[in-house]
Amino acid sequence: MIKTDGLTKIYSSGCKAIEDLSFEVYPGEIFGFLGPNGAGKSSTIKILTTLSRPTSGTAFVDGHDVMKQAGLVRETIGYVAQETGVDYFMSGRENLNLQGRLYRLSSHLIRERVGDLLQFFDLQDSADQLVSTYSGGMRRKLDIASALIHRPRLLFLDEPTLGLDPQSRLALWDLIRRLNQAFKVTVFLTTHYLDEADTLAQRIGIIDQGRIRVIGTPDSLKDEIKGDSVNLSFESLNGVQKQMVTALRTEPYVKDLLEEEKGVRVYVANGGEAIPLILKSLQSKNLEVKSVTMSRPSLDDVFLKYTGKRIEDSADSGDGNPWWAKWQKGGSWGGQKGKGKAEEESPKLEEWENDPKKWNVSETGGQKGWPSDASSWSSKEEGDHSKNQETKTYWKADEKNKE
Amino acid sequence: MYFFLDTWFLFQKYMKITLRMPLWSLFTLVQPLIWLLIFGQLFRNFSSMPGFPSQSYMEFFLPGVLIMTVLFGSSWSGVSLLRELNFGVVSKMLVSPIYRSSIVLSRVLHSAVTVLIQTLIIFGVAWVMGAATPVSGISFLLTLVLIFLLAVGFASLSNGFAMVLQREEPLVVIGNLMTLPLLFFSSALVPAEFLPSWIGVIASVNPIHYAVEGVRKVLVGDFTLQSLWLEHAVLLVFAVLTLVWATFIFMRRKD
Repeated sequence: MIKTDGLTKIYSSGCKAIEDLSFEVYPGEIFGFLGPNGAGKSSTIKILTTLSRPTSGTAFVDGHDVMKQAGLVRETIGYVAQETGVDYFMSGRENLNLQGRLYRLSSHLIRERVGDLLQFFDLQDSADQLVSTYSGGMRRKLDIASALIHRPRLLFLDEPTLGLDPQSRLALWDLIRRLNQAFKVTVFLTTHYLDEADTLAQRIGIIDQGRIRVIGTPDSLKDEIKGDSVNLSFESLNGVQKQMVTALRTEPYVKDLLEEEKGVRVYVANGGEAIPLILKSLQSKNLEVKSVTMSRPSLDDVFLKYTGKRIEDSADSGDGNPWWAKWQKGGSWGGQKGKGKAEEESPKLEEWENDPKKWNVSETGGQKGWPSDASSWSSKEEGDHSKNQETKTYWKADEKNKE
Repeated sequence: MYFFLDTWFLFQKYMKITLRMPLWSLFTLVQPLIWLLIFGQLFRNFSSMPGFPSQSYMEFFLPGVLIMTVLFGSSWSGVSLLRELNFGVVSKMLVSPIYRSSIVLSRVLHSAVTVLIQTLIIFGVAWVMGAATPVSGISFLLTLVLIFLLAVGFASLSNGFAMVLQREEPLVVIGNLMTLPLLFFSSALVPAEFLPSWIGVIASVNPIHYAVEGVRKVLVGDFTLQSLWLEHAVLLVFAVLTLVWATFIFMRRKD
């Protein structure tokens, strides 16, 4: 469904948002793009949704080049931005109607689909109220509904649960899952919540500082860190002591060791057996341990392993420009000239006219008025890769990037 | 075909939103109304000056107030573009297959039509106050064309600057700079014959000056169709150039 190769985006400010991204998203799956704020998630989505052009590299969505065939890509995808892209001074129904118009659907088809969407998203009761009266969760739902008006086969969700209360979050997760299962919509989801990626996504790509660190199913990623993680914390450590602690790495029962600010994480096959050994070893070096905890590996450990830090500690790497950047000396006043190319015009009329199925499919029947034949949503099914348990690691952190 | 439909549906959306907040549109009328009432009184005795082209200052000043309404109404169009950009509404439009240029055009048209309605209200008030002389159908239409073209120009400028500046604060500063000083460099407040020569030079390249002059000629009834072509031509060129510029800036916006 999505295939990128060496995708790189450098903003005109010189800020490198993403670097050499190569990954694939299979039809029918929920792909979670996990990373801290500013890791390059939104930059990637913007390129894949034709909103932004990559500096180098290629990206194909459903076989269409995002740069050369932007029009075809736009017909295939639905996009829900981080900001709610709905108009506050229009009603929910009006928002959906307009969206249908922008996708050039016939008024008959719009009426039908708007009804279906309002029902599916449970928004009928407030359909004719202004969006400004909606709660955050309702706005988000309406936003997703309007991205589905043209029945895209691929849906981009950029941090869909950002700023929602826990209840709305759970409801939205359920909705995304239903969309994916019942209608075979491929979902590309970015998030910086580990639990969100863990529950929703069939495969996860971890991105940090513009690079993909690892790709795999949540289980296979967790399996890579087999056994338990023993977390040791210390009151204070000087350089020599720190070296002594990290020397644990050489012990035969230790599989891996990660340094943290005030301690270390030791990955072992069996925590219960390892803890006494670890403590004995540290005691022999006269090192005072403040506390010991043991945990089953979570995605947090996966994240830690591939990026060397916890997700909540990851600093914002300053994705994009601050607004005042252009007011600075040598800002983009001059630099702007001749950099951007004019955006491609929308698809030519013939592309629409010659392909009536693009905008005139009118399926009826099925639950809640949605197409009974769910495959009509994804006509180009290429087998369900989502159950593919094989871990695909396209890129692993090498020494240079571990820092 | 789709270009016109895209523009039409977006235009409808903006009009709908404006009509839902009629108070907001009325607020922008307050300032021109105050000017009309207070300036009309303040400079009342000007009309007795030798060489003053009109019987009453109010009558002379009305075209200036109409043009002012246009400027105050259309120069903020870009502010709402920035709001739509920040709220993700623009990205939502951009991922749909619509013509990019129809986004700019619909915004500018919406602004121009709104302003047209506002000037009609001002004209109505002036008429009630006895400042406006009844005008014939054709001359009224010519006035509306001038007003429409000027509004398209300034709404385009505002949208273009919004894309360049990316921020509301500097945009508001530019909006203020665009409207008031340029109004002074025209015959809006003072007859063209009274303008100092250096201001006259600036006025001769100031589209606002041409709009004021054109509207005044029509309202005074002292015109032939031939004598109005210059004003209309200048404003048409101004409107087209600024619209093309704004569209260009929007299409090659940075990401």
